[in-house]
Amino acid sequence: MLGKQKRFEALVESYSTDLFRYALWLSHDRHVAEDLVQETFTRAWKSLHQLKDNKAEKGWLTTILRNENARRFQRFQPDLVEIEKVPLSANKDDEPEAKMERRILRKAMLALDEKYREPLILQVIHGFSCREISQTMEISENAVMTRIFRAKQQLKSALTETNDSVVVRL
Amino acid sequence: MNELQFRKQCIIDPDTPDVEFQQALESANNREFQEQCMEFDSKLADALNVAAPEDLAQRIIERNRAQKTDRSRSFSWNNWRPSLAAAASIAATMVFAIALLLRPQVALSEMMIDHLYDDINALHVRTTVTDAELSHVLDHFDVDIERSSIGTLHFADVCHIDKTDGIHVVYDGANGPVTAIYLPGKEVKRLQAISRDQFQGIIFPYHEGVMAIIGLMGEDVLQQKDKVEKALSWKMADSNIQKTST
Repeated sequence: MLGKQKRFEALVESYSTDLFRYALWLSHDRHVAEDLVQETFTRAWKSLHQLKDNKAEKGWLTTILRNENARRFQRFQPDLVEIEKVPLSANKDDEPEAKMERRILRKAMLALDEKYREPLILQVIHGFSCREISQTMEISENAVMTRIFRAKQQLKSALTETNDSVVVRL
Repeated sequence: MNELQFRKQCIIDPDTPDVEFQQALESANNREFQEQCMEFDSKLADALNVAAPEDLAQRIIERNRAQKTDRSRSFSWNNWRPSLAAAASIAATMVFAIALLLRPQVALSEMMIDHLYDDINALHVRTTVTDAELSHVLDHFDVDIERSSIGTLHFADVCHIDKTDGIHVVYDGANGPVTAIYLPGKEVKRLQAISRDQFQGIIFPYHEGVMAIIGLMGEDVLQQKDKVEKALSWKMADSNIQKTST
């Protein structure tokens, strides 16, 4: 078994980037997202002895971050910065068409109801199964599947409608 | 699985290992639909893939280290102040008399007290360790703790000191939290006193290794030693542990 400090650092190295992305899509603000991740790991350090199962560590950290985000809303409702200003990760496929699709999908993501957006983020960014998402969000697996289905349908519609309107304008 | 069910499942998770779903993929049409869904999911992942600050992990680790230092410096005496009036207890005198007489073997005792500082938060935990949590720790070492003998246990975990897994527990002493650390496979020749800042304790040969009992100044650590030794019962002799000298 690793020492506490080593175990903690391994968790930070493994999950801070994905947690940041998740926090950013929850908060829409880079600074808030970074604070959320920092606070998540501060709490994780204090409770690390409670984490018995290494396989559960990603879900455990995600739950801490969700709770931190909920606390943030108990304190105040921040002004949100548009996530469109946030840089994308470097991408080899930087064709104009791909860029446009990403922009459309991001806008559509922001337009999604929170209850649809969050399970989708957990699936796409964290790679969680529907069961893991249901445990994290404390809702039924069927509800998770329904929400992901509706979320993807809305995003597909947004992509199709915008592409169609571009074609018509041309 | 009919076509409608397949399509719905495919949109939700085109890579699901569900058996019926996998059987439905024998159809060429279904496979084509699956590829479309996967392509869409890939675009979605691409869109959500926002850049994280490059040095985020490093900053979190550095902040944690800085906070650890602050926490260890600001350990609160307030909870235990009333009983510290009697700090000049006989036990403390005994411990420091022993300290004067015996020269400590620096390495292991220092490592154990370093570990106490590394895990300083363990001294702030006020919740009680559940039986399940305790078993999880003790099962590694084939030992039981008689909880009624030791009092309220606030922390129990497997610790790692000098490449060795050990038991780390914190419970209520007379003057504040008392830390007991057992490291199997280690060796000290005799009981030694250890102290740093507001902490004092002893390290001594115990069972198949070494035990440290560390409390706040004024704690009767010899009495705590008796208490811990009585509370522990070993299920079987562990003859496989290779002793390592420190």
